[in-house]
Amino acid sequence: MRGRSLAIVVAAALAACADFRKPSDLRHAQILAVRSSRPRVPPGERATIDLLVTGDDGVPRETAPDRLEVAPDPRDPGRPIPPAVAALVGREAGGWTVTVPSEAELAIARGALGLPPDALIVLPLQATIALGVETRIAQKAIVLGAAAANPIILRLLADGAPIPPEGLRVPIGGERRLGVEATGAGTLSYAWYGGAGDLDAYRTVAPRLSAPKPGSGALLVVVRDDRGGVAWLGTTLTIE
Amino acid sequence: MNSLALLVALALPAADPDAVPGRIQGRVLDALAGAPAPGIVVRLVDRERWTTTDENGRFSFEAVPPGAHTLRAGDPPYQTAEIEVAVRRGAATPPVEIAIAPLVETVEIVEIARREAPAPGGTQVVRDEVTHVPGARGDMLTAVQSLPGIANTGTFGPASGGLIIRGSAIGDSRILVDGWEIPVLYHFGAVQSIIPSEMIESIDYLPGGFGVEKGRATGGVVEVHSRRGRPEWGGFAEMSFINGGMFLQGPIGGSKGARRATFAVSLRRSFVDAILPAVVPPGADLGFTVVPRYYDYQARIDWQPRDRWRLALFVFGTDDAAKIETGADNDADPLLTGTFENETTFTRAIASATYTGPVVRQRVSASADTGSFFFRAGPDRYLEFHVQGLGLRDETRVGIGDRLTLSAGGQVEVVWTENDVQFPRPPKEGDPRDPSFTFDPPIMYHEDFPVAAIEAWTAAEIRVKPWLDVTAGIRYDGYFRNDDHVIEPRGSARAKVGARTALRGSTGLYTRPAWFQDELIQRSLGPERALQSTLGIEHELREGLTVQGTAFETERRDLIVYDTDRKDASKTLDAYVNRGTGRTFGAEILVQWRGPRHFGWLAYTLSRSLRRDAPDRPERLFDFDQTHNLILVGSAKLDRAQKWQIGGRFQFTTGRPYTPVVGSIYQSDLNYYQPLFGGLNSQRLESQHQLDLRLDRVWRFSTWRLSAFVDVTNVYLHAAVLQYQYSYDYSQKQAIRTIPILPSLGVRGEW
Repeated sequence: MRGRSLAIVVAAALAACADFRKPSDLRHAQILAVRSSRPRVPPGERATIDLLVTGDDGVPRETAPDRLEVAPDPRDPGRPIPPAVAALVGREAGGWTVTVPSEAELAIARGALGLPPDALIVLPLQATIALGVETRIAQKAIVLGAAAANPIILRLLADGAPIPPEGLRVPIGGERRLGVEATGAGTLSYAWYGGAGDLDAYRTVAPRLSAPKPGSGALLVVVRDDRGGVAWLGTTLTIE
Repeated sequence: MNSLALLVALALPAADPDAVPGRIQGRVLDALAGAPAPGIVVRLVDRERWTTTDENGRFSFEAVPPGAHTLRAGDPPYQTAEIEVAVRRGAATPPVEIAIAPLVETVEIVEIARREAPAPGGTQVVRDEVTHVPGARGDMLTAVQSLPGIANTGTFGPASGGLIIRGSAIGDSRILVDGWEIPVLYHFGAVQSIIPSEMIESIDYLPGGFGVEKGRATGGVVEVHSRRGRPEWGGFAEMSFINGGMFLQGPIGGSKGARRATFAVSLRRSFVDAILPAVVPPGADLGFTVVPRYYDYQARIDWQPRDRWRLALFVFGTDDAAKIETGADNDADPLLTGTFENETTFTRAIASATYTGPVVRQRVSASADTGSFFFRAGPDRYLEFHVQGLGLRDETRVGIGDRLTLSAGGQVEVVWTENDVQFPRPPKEGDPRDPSFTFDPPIMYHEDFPVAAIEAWTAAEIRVKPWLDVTAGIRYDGYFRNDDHVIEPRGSARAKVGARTALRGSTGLYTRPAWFQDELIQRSLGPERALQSTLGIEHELREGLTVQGTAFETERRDLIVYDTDRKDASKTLDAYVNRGTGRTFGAEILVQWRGPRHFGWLAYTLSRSLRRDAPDRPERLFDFDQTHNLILVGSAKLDRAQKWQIGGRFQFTTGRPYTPVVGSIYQSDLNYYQPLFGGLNSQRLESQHQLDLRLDRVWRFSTWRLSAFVDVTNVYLHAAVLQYQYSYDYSQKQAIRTIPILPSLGVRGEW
């Protein structure tokens, strides 16, 4: 493995020098998260799927995908999805839903898939949305036949103090240590986004925000648990 | 031989007190070692007189009549060299100096060409030439990459740590030192090989079609023959931008022993760690704890107890280390940040006994080696291997009459391995994705096991007609780790169809065990197989100008490919199957010219290498398929005194294929982007071309010699694309380019 391993070191060094857009910068089109109203859905119940996206304007918004379907098998992308599985996904009143079969039907499915009776059935979903001139695709898995809720974000912090409802104001040249209080199942992970200023880290619970020049935009954190749950909370950021 | 002789006639100061009318005096030097050559016969040709040089290489002729005279020096083991000397009436004749090149190098070429089964396209490289190839920084093994059939992989590229020969993957070819495989060929970034040129006698470059005595390779073989120390004291110390080193050789024992036992030792240490921090951009957020640095060391002792017996012990090793700390976020692979640490060490000892008789030649060698490899990337991804190996090898040749030579041999090798792995699966040939340290399920493997192999072969070389030699052989390889046993028949023929023309052809089966990278973990894998066929022609256009053309075709099967997607966590230890096939075909031309003060070659390869990952998958280009690879090398000594030498090397290569990224899918639960690829290897990088220049200058003093060189790689700053890197969401890409210019300046003092 040696030659390629060393190449990875060089690539990592070069990647640090590359001038690419940062994922934490809200000012370009991207999908920030795919949310199921229930990451694990009990038998016979239903979940709604929506997206958190941003465009070149840097304004994050919640929206329904243009299209939602069962994701193809990565090992054989051309294989058709069985109609009974594809029919679990539907559109209602402008939104997309996943309807979980009854416990009896899930038991039949487990048997057909060769899974033990108590096994979780994972349904991979694929969402498509047009953002400006680009079409973006995102995938998310939900678990059928179990129950779980999304994390709950309690509040955002700056230098240990709650950020007020009117937003965070930072003087030019100033810095703030951001933070978030959230609860959820298992280990939580964090992703921070800003429409102004510079974040020194992206995947951390407490990044440092610096404000080198004036500007304003959104400040947003997405919190994920390790069971497919996701939540987000934003505020406004003003640098003056 | 005169055409190859290095001939120097240097007028020393006329005030020499020994200079008297009618006396011709001077000194004979070994042109390569720069040392006095004792015991050399010097002839005053037109007077039919002769003498021999003393222990300081000095000679003289008294009472030589006025006029022009020819001096000829050199008998085996040296080539002869001639100079003209004018003796004037009543005037002292300035002392002369004659440099003669050792004949042993040429003898080796002839011997090996006879000993080995013909390998069309194969080449022996000559030290005095390849150490002056521009762009190679004096490194013979780097200069080998200027021969036909080897893909241009560049420096610091994704494949620059290995050799890609005739469209075969890195793991398909073997690098041997005195018959034994070495785990690494180059130091970090392929700037220098692990064995300095001074410790190399010669290199066999066999791109394919080689005989049954070499195996475990479906590509080519590069075999390095270590160099024995000369019986005269000599050595050097040198320093360049790349590294510093020393070399010492001489006799062991007294004057009698000097003919029987010699030694040579060498040691190098890199200077990259002193230079790299100065050239890395300040914004790179890299902190070097241990910047890349290497040592290598070699020692060889030879003892000739009897005329026909030669004993040798060669010990060599290397120690490479690098540790880099970075605090930069890696947006695409968050765990791939922090500490990158690598250390590779190995030491090998090869003891050999060689008997050379009128009928039988036998070489028995034993090898012991120890090594370790450690690599850590990020907080918890690492590879750690330790190996200890032992081996025994025997090669015997027996001449039976004038028309038949039989050869046979065998090798037993056992390597004990300790493996501690927590690392994503490495990329395979044809896999466009780099491993993800964050999102790929890692291989978790912590087991120790032995790897054993036995090989045996026999061949018959038959002189069917005075103009036709045929070799037929058969080889057995037992790969006990995988419980595989293969029989490989091979044959070749060489027909002399004119005074200066010969045709050569070969065909045979070649295999390599499933031992490359993490393949060793999976015992169910079988060896990869290749059926190689070659047809070549050699023609000497005139003395010193030869042309060699070879057409080749290789059919591959049982190639080891991924069974399922790399992210399939259930398959980390059972990932591969022998399902791939492939074929490579093409032609090579090598035109070489040599003269007393110049050498050069043109190497051109036209090839196409294809792979099919499964019977139902479409054929695709091999990762390093290079349609055209043109190399021009030329070097000339500018003056009669041979103080100045200048050379150039130009290379043009078709850009290698790559797989374009056509989009990405955002994996929301893990918050990362998965690339979507277009057709495998359906696009090519831009063509590469570069010019390298080298200038050498030598100053000779009475007891020592000072030389300096400037070697500049890529003088016109064409920074070719090595590969592309992508932003975290694959919406942006940026080219990673070759180093735009790599100058190296070095000085060496020799005595």
